[in-house]
Amino acid sequence: MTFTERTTDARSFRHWPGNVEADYIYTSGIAGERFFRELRDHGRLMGTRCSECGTQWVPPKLFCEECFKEVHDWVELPREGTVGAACIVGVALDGSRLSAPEAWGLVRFAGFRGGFVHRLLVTPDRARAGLRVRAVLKPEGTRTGAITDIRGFSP
Amino acid sequence: MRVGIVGVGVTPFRPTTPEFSWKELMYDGAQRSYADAGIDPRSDVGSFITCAEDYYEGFGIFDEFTPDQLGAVLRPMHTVGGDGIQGLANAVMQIRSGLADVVVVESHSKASDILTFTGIVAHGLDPIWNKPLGGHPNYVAGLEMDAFLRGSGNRSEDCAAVVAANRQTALLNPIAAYGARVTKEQAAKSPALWAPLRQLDASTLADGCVVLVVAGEAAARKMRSEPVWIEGIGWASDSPSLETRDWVAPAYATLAAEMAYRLAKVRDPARSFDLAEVDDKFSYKELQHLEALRLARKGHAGKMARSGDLAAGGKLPTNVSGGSLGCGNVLEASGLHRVAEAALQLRGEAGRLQLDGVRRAVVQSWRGLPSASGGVAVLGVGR
Ligand SMILES: [Zn+2]
Repeated sequence: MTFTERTTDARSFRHWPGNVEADYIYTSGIAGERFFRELRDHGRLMGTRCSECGTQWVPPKLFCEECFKEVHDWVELPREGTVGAACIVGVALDGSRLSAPEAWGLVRFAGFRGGFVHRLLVTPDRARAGLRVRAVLKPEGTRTGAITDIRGFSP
Repeated sequence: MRVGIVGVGVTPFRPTTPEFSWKELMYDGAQRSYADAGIDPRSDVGSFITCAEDYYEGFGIFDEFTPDQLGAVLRPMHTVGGDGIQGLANAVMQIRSGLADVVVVESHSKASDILTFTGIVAHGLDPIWNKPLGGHPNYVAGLEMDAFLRGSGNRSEDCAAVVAANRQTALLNPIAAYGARVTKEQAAKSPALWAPLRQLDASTLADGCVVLVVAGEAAARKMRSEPVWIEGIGWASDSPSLETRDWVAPAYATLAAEMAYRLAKVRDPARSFDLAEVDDKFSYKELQHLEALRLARKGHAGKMARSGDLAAGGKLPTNVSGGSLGCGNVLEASGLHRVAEAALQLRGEAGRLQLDGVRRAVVQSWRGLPSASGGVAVLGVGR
């Protein structure tokens, strides 16, 4: 051992409890602002299209990850997407068991790079790759312009 | 100029370390490594590198807190916000560029001081698009496992085989925290908390510290131990968002391996190594990483796990140390831990785990959820 003496009395170990006080606001940015306005006001899901390489991005980006060009064009997503991967979660963030397991999915849209990682509003046995789904939105007037305006995706 | 590892210091990994502060844990690891190399850090080291993430440490600007416990006060030092292999790459560059002859690389985990680790993982998710949805963040691993198994053709039984193999071999590793006689059946029946990902598919956090002493060839020859040469090293990140990354094949591992293989002149990875240590923070990750590193053909890693090809004495002994599943997840120290395990094998000093004729090894790291970053190192002895 590297220390000459070591404590062997477990009752003597001391610690100081602490936490990090760190609150933030996260700026949606120009692309996020437009996406969330469209979602809140018109119930539309929008992506962007790079005029250089043609890649269509969702969530929308104002700069293309492939060719690094500025992106200006906006396009609406198809109504239906496809579940690319699914997961049934049985525990909450604090580690406690959920009484009703919740389904999560990676939802893809034809012609778009990206998609949404979101809740699938189906019973666990139906949550699997290949399922065709649509966004289920909160009612107009209750939407605030955030990703939580989408309640989830369901067939 | 060749660069070699000449000092290996690993503290035994443990679920908790109530008697040590994190600084004392680092001092413990450093003393072991300096004794192994036979050096005095106050006079023999040109540069010190630590690898850490502030949120894992629990305080800000970690690099301000590091010099004293490494013998590095008033000496050049910096922190890499990444995995240990990324820090090791920095050491190689500093030595090859002539900035230093001897460099110390350190990383540790005092995970038992973290009371809300899941919250820290959730905090790694995008704050606009992902985190507001809540949920236990291991859904990211569950989704990836689902995408990988279906996309590659591997099966969940193969993942259970990985769990059993790594937990059992860890019984022979004196530093492992979680060695146990876990069977495939047990693994396959453990609670499906993030189905298809099960409880036993996930590694458990551990405390531990790894310190390596790295030296250029001339300095290395004068050290006490046989140098383990870093023949190649690489690092990479996948597309940064959950939505755009590749969920079947981990691009970060493929790209890091390409870089390391290019430097080490490895052309046929599947036939080039006597040992592999690849990240297994989740069981499916071991299979995914083996295929990304071209150590297994696409869709065949699971079969290798099932058939014993990955066991000691198999075609490509993999994670015979016990990996993260068996030894414990030591966060940013995970990559350095596996480098240390491979170095001991290459030196013939791996005790009960020692394999015959280990001349060349490949080591791969992943930074853990929800990251898509990691490194690869090719290590060898002789010539
Ligand atoms: Zn483009």
